[in-house]
Amino acid sequence: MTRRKVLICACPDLAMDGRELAARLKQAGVQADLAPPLCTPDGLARLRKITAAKARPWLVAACGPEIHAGFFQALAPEARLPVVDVRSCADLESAVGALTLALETREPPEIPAVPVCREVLVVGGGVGGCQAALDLANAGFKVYLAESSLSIGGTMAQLDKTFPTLDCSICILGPKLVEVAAHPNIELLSYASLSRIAGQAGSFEVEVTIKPRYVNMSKCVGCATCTTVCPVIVPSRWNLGLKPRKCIRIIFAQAVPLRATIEKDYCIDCQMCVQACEHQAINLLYRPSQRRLTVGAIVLATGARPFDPTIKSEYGYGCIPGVVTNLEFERIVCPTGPTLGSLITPGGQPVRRLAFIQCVGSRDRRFLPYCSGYCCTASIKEAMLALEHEPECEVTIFYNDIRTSGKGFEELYLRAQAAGVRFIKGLPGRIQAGDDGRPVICFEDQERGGRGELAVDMAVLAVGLEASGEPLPFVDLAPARDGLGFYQARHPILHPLESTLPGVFLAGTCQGPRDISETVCQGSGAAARVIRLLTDLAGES
Amino acid sequence: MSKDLRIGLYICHCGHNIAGVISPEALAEQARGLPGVAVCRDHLYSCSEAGQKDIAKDIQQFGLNRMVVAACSPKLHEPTFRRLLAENGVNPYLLEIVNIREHCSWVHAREPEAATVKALELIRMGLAKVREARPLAERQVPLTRAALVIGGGPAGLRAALDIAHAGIPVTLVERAPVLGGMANRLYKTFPQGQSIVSLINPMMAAATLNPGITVLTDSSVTGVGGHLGNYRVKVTQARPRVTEDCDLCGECAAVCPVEVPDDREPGRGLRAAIYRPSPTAFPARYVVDALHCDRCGLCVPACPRQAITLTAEGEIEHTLDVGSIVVATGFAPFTPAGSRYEAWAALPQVITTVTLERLLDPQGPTGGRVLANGATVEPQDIALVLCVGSREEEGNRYCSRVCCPTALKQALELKARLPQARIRIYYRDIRTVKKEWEALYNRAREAGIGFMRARVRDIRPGEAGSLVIEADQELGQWVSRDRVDLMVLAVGMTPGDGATLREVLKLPVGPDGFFMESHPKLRPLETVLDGIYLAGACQGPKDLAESITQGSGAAGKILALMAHDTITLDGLICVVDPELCIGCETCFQECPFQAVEMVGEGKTRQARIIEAACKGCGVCAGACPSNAVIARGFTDEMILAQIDEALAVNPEEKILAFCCNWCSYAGADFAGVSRMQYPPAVRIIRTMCAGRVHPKFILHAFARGAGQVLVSGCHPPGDCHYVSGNLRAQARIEKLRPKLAKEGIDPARLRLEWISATEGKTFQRVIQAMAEEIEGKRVKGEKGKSQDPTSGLP
Ligand SMILES: Cc1cc2nc3c(=O)[nH]c(=O)nc-3n(C[C@H](O)[C@H](O)[C@H](O)COP(=O)(O)OP(=O)(O)OC[C@H]3O[C@@H](n4cnc5c(N)ncnc54)[C@H](O)[C@@H]3O)c2cc1C
Ligand SMILES: Cc1cc2nc3c(=O)[nH]c(=O)nc-3n(C[C@H](O)[C@H](O)[C@H](O)COP(=O)(O)OP(=O)(O)OC[C@H]3O[C@@H](n4cnc5c(N)ncnc54)[C@H](O)[C@@H]3O)c2cc1C
Ligand code: SF4
Ligand code: SF4
Repeated sequence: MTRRKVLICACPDLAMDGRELAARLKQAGVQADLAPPLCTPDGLARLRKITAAKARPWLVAACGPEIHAGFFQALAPEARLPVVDVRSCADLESAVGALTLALETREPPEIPAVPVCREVLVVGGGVGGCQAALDLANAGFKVYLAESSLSIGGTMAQLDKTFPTLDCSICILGPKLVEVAAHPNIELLSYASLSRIAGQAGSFEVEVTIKPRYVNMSKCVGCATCTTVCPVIVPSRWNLGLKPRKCIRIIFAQAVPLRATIEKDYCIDCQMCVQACEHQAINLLYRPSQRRLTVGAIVLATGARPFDPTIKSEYGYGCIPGVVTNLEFERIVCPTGPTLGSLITPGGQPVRRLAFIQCVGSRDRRFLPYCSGYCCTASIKEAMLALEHEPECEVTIFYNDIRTSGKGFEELYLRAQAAGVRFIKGLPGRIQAGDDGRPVICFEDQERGGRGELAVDMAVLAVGLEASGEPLPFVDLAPARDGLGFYQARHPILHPLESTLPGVFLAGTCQGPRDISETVCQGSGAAARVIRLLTDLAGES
Repeated sequence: MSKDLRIGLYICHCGHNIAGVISPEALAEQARGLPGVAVCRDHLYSCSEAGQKDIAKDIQQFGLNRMVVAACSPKLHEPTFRRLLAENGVNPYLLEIVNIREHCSWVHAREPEAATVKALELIRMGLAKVREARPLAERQVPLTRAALVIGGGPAGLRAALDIAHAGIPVTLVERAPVLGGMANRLYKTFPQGQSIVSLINPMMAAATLNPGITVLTDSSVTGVGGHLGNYRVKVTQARPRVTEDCDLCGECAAVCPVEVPDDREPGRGLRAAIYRPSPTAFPARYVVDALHCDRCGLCVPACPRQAITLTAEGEIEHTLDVGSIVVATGFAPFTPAGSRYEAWAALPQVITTVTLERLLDPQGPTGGRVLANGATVEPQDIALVLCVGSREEEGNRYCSRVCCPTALKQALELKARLPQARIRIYYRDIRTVKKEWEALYNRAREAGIGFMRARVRDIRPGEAGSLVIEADQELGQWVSRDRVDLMVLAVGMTPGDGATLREVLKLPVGPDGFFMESHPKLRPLETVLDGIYLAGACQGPKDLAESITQGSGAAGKILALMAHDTITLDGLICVVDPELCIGCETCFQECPFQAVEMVGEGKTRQARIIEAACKGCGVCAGACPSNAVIARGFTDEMILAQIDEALAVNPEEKILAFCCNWCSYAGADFAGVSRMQYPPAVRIIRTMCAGRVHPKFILHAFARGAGQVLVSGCHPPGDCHYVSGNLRAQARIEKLRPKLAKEGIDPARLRLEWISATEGKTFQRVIQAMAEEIEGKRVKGEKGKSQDPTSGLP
């Protein structure tokens, strides 16, 4: 049946004048009525008249599914109204085109129903991915959690304390990680990389490559004996190069899974670890293994990474030893970190004067043109941690705006001011090495006026968060990313947890910087949206 | 005491958190030989996988049958270690967590020696308690597969839709006559400029049409009982005076003689006493404003559909059985009235961002023209002032997060409407912490909007209907004077009047007045009450996307809960020992939950506790005159053993504190988290409720020579998690005081204090005061004696 009548929704967001659209359609011999916005009571009354009638020659010109949220289906569940999205049409011509096409097309072909798989893949085991996996698993879904690193936990596992309450980060995260590993509905695939993603919502085919650890996962008990005998010493990436480790190592003490791994690139095949292991867990001949999964939906929680300040050369990162990033600072004050929690410079000197430089990389057109949101509060937190370690330490924070907007954040800012942390408005132009090699910060105080130089023992760069940009192996269309490399939400307000690809969901910093609690809310939210989608699809087939 | 005790004792370093003050190795050394301890170790992190594996190995190797973990607050890891025990075949209730972090290392950071002594005593107390522990069984209770959402704003709508979609029936209770919340008062939204109607209305319409969602407007929740999985909720709905037959013709409003200011358009426009609350919101119906209606009856015959019954009086009571609840009651915009902004806001050229939303809306009172308070020409010089009612030195101290992007959005809209206008923003910091918000800030600067980092000092009427703004410029520090036609106050978000609901639900709020989540980082959607979740701005300032995300998040929690047929509840309940019960009915009268029944007649008449109804507060056990009630997990034997250990040495220098689990113990934890230092004299015994504290415990403590005794609980009347346990504790203590005096014990040595979960400061103050009392007594006692030779040394 072709349709001859169009009901146009007078949505306030139409890019064109609804009356003109109606006029154009009338010229083409189509009956076109302009109705009040259909999602308002007046519009709904009009729609009800249409759905109540037996004959239904009507086509509705309104918004797409990401806006109307299933409202048209709810109105007429048994006989769906055909809805053409004209709200996203940029001008009158394209709207007329879209409607003409839809009027000429016969009934839209039924999308063949695929069997819906009730298993879900979560990619990335940071706190966002872990939360999504736990909520889905608790709701009875089988979850595969694929993590590219040796342990789940993501950035949060590297932090010392978390703002605003200064809770010990690993103390609150650790149990969650253990819960993930112990959950009967979660299968943890660590040290894994995705090699192929095909299919569609309800049924994705995913291939996962598990990289070899050269350690048998079921035999290793994580006792770390092997690490004591290994003769090869390499810098620890996890401790950001601040501390050496062995070629065979357990990535950190609270790692989940707690297993040793050999970094084969450095291994000299001396076999000492093989002999030392009481459990015969080490085998230098392991090969990568493949897993093939069928899942109904995918949650991307691949996180973001700290900006590398080397390219912002005026701050001397990498040249002046006392200049460190905020993540390095977190490791330095952390009791499990490279200095076992002593606040000392990488050169081993005590820190009596400390400065934080905000917005490194962030809010900078050359690098990251956005605010990373977390770093103001993180620096204030780190300033408080420094004072806990060294009550006499002089701490200065150079900032542009202090952006402590989040529950309890402003209160932390006030506490820091009361504790004597000095705040100077004005981002330093450069950091030089002083005569003694210490960093000297050249700044301009925008509030009180005047330029100054401040010699410090340690200068901490509050680096921004940037998108990892690493592509995922989608065979067909991949979820869209914005110009900065972050995954784009299907709709910024209504669908912050859906990617542009149906069946693929987003949680955490992979779609832009945010703090831990927002990441956790998103993890739970994404779980609900996955359940909703899979329930819907199962209902249809 | 069971003969065959094999206790595993584990002492955690918690990185430096504990080990930085106390030496866990030394503690382990001293504790190793204590009675019953089969193995004792210290761990860098007992809660880590490594720590847990180590413990699991010990359980097998040493056949452990009890466990004590000296670490952080049981609020954090009790579930972790209970699970560990259960997985290794030990009953999970044979566990005691000794809090040597929040209650020791963090609060005595400057007294490492005293802290170490205290930690060892705390461990001894924990051991004493666990020796008396008995295995307990968990209870399976059925689950009601239905949910309640309170608040029909964006967050509540999304939560209701996501839950209902999974086939779980939802009741959506909204206090206002229409759904939508703040959405009904906005125009276009940041970040994309989409109109609010096309964002929120489809959700409102979908919720109204969804057969799985029952919408109750004009309703409020007036009572909540029960527990996770089975809440019974009382909802009171104003009886509608206009029925569903209303077809919005508006004849009634046309004849109504009453005129009152329109609350939707503050300061402008009048409406009748029968009116339509919103032209776009659902449910679409005229409503009678009972407050202003003078019952003249003119509208009744005017209605062509006979939809009006002015005689409909009173309220409809609904009783709902639900398994879980989402609280999404939103916020209220800050109102200048009663604040330091009151005088400014009274000037006709001063409006708030909320009013500006309405003025910008073509459907609004001015047809979309920016005409404030009867102005006839649109303004040419406009200033927006940020942080009004936020970041205040007095009043709301927090940042409202949303007002910066709101002001930028509005400034850009004004600039587009009035290209000639000069627009500037007075700010303290521009807080555009999201990618899209920062883009808005950049666009505003490119559009020529001025930004001044300044604090507005004063506003006065200037010439020709203008205003003069005097401000302290922070950059360069000078005083500016600025002439404008319109000034917009970017008002912050306030918790609104959640107070009534707070009392009904017994949900704690933080110092900022917003509902408190159970952990700010990892449990942001949960509350201290199992099965009750938070979504949206009722938890703290948020934009629409964040509120909607939380709506989905709360739905996710409920879907996970409802995926099961039953819920497992813990075994911490009370039972009556028939051997000892004398049938006095004390417990029957004391129980706040009607969980005690009297069975039998005459001499055999005895009390019995209904397991499914018992919440384990122990109020009955705190009252029983014949020791017949066994409060599982907190038995008389356990508590007396803890008292004995706490007061074993130098009892006169000690404060023995009974703290209720929900408020006071958490308050002491909060003091720890905030590193508030206080004297190490205090020994805390945790009970579920202050009502569990039997007078015999207090007498026993004084008999053992305790210097001071503290009983502390939640603030009366409403904060108690067991309705009235705190008041019962109060009554008992008042009765005990004269008895103490008679026995020659100064009643001032017994204190009762109300300390909430956020009042770490109060806890600190109380302990300091009590320690001073003890100190004062000691000094007085020593005056007569010879001087301590060391006390005079510098
Ligand atoms: C120095 C610093 C201090 C901070 N302090 C705080 C604080 O005090 N409070 C606070 O709230 N927030 C803080 N944050 C922010 C906080 O770290 C983040 O909000 C949080 O970690 C985000 O979690 P996530 O799960 O989104 O991402 P991540 O933690 O980044 O986790 C992403 C995970 O995905 C994995 N992954 C990535 N790509 C793939 C792939 N292709 N396949 C499989 N796995 C993949 C990664 O290995 C990683 O484990 C801080 C951040 C930094 C840098
Ligand atoms: C001037 C201004 C402009 C804004 N502009 C934007 C914007 O452009 N973009 C954006 O993203 N955000 C904007 N916001 C923020 C946005 O309004 C909030 O994020 C959003 O409204 C929060 O939704 P909510 O559902 O949590 O609360 P609300 O919208 O406040 O809804 C709460 C609902 O609960 C009901 N309720 C309250 N108490 C009870 C009770 N006891 N029982 C039953 N029901 C109850 C209320 O009646 C209300 O309907 C703006 C805010 C303001 C003040
Ligand atoms: S949060 Fe603060 S430091 Fe970080 S980018 Fe934003 S303004 Fe700069
Ligand atoms: S969001 Fe901006 S205007 Fe609002 S309180 Fe925070 S800093 Fe002030």
